[in-house]
Amino acid sequence: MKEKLYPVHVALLIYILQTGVTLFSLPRLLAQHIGYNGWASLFIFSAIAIANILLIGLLHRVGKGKSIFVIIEQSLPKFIAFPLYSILIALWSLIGCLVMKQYVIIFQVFAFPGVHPMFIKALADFLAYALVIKGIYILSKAATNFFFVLFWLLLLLLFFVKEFHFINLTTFVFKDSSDLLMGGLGIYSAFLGYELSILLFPYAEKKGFVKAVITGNLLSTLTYLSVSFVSFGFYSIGQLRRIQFPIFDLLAYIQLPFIERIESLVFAIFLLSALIILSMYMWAAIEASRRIIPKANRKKYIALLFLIAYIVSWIPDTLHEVTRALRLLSFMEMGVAFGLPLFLLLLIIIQKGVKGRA
Amino acid sequence: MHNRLPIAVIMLCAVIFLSGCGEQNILERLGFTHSVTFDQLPDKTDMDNKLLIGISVPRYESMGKGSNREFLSTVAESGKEGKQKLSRQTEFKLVSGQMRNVFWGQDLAKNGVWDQLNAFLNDSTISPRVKVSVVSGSAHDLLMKDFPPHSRTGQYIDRMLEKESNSQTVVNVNLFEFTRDYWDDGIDPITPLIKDNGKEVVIDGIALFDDDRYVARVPPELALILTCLRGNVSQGDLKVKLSGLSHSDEPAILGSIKSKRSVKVTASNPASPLAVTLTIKIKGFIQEYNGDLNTDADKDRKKAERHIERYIEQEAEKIIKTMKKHNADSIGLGKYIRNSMSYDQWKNLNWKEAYTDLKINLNVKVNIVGGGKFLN
Repeated sequence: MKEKLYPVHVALLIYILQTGVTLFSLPRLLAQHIGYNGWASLFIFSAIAIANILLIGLLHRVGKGKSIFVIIEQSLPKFIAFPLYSILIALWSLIGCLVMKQYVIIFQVFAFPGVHPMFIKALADFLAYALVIKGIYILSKAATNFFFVLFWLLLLLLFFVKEFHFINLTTFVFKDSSDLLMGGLGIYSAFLGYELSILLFPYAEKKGFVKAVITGNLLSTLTYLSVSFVSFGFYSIGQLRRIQFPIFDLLAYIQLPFIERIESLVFAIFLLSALIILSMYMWAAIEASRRIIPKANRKKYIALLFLIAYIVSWIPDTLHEVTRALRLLSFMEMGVAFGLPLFLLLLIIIQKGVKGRA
Repeated sequence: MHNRLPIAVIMLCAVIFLSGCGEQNILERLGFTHSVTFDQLPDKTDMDNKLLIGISVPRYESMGKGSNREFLSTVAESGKEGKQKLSRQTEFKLVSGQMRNVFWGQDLAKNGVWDQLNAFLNDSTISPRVKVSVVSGSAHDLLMKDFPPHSRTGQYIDRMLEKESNSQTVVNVNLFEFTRDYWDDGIDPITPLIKDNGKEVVIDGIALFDDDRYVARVPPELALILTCLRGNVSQGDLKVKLSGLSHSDEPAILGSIKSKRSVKVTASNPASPLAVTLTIKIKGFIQEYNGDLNTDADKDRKKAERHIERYIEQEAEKIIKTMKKHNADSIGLGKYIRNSMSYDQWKNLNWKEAYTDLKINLNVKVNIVGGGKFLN
């Protein structure tokens, strides 16, 4: 397995990782927390994400593309490194599992409401397991394929050319916002996913890596922007604030001569995205845990981690609980997204200082 | 490695096909609710706030013999409770995925429809394109009644509304549009108004709402003018009179009209009365005109245009007067006022109050594109 991930694979992988279920409620979050013309704030959020990616890029350059675990273990003793890994393992595997659980519960709003959600989740987990044991190369190629299934869905927005009214956008910008900090963090969580690129260092082509991650982020931004912009011109703002999943209603409104009510169909396609998110976060957790137990049988080990995460994800039961738990986890993940590269950069500087003195 | 492929295929097939066993919906055992009615019960002594709910479910197995639809009704406190009660009256599993119409009885609509509407919006199986209408009188009685030779009353009304909205003689308002306008602070919703005319159902005009309460009616003759005031119109036949031309008004039809509306806010200082200029440009073909003017001649055509303009202005004034009287901003002028102000000005403005003092300058421009194929 000498093959490296090409920039195009990295870009599309990051895109799929970012564009998840949050997309379906994003316009509402923007209307609730940012207020009038909240869609425009996506530029700011995207810029923050790019700043974070540049930070990761800096680490990539300074660390010469070395694996982050190598950097950590070069300067920290195991009794400090392992607890740190354990936290990351718990965080990543839980995020992966809960993203899928959230997807399943929302999916049950349309289909199979009578089936136990954990049964559907078990099926999805099995698919993810099959992906993860294949490793990152196959995962990224699966993501590339899924991208071509998902991205064309943006064309559905063309249907709203006639239903879009500029007057609904109003002339107010970011007025009537509420709970700006927590809401803003909630919106920013839609951009999460790029931070896993920090684990791709040893697997990706060095050249064009950062650009690829930024491209992925820009593609997600484009998706979010177009969907939110259309929502703000289609709905009235008071209405948008009250619709749980504005994108469902948007899709439900599409009427083609041969088909209508395509929201359940389209949401089913987003299983692919949820699958990649689950697989990637589990992969990340496994990458970290292999540093602790390097000699364990890889497949059995992955199965065990999936099983533990599956059992833990049984605890939150309702959509509300899952969303809340996921929100908490994504706040922590934001801390990791900014904190981890900064911490590693610091380690490298200290290492260099020590070497320089010696 | 390659020997895992069959396992993967089997797993995939299992996921796809076995999931069908999870919850079964057999077509023949489903009752597809086509239309729903909500009425406020007239007797308020011990059944305060109770609703009379009716649904119409098409039955396909009895085609040709007996009734081809089932009408069920019940009294309940809410729509969901009603659905449970209705379910007890039939051997079908009642589903809402094919719903087309919601009819509100006049009395209920006057008291406000939001509670019923909210329940509909919460149900993910109900399409946002379900049409909403107000019935002059009892919606329950209208849907219960058969109107031969029209086979199913719900479908009959649905198709009529669809057809009439295509020719713009009535607006077609669905759940989504009603909710959008209800939650917008710069416009009030409207719906079509229908009534039982004995042997058939007729369109009785347009119902104007103040928030979620039905407050006024615009007669069907003026419906198209209201549509022109509300937005752009791409087709429709407008019945006009050439007012003041001779001793009696000369009727004519302005056919295949295209109308463009524009709104300009001319005074947006909240301290003084607000003012807007509403310009409507209408193009159309003159049809069925039997008066003295020769509309094929330039001079007479210009004259006819001026008279039609005057007529439309008069009728539009009537509509505006009704809207103002009942505090219904049905044409969405508030949106334009809102966009002409700063956010603080708009928030401090009591729009509904300012609306009654709003000065509306009407400016109608009619352009007769041509006449029929036979020269006058």
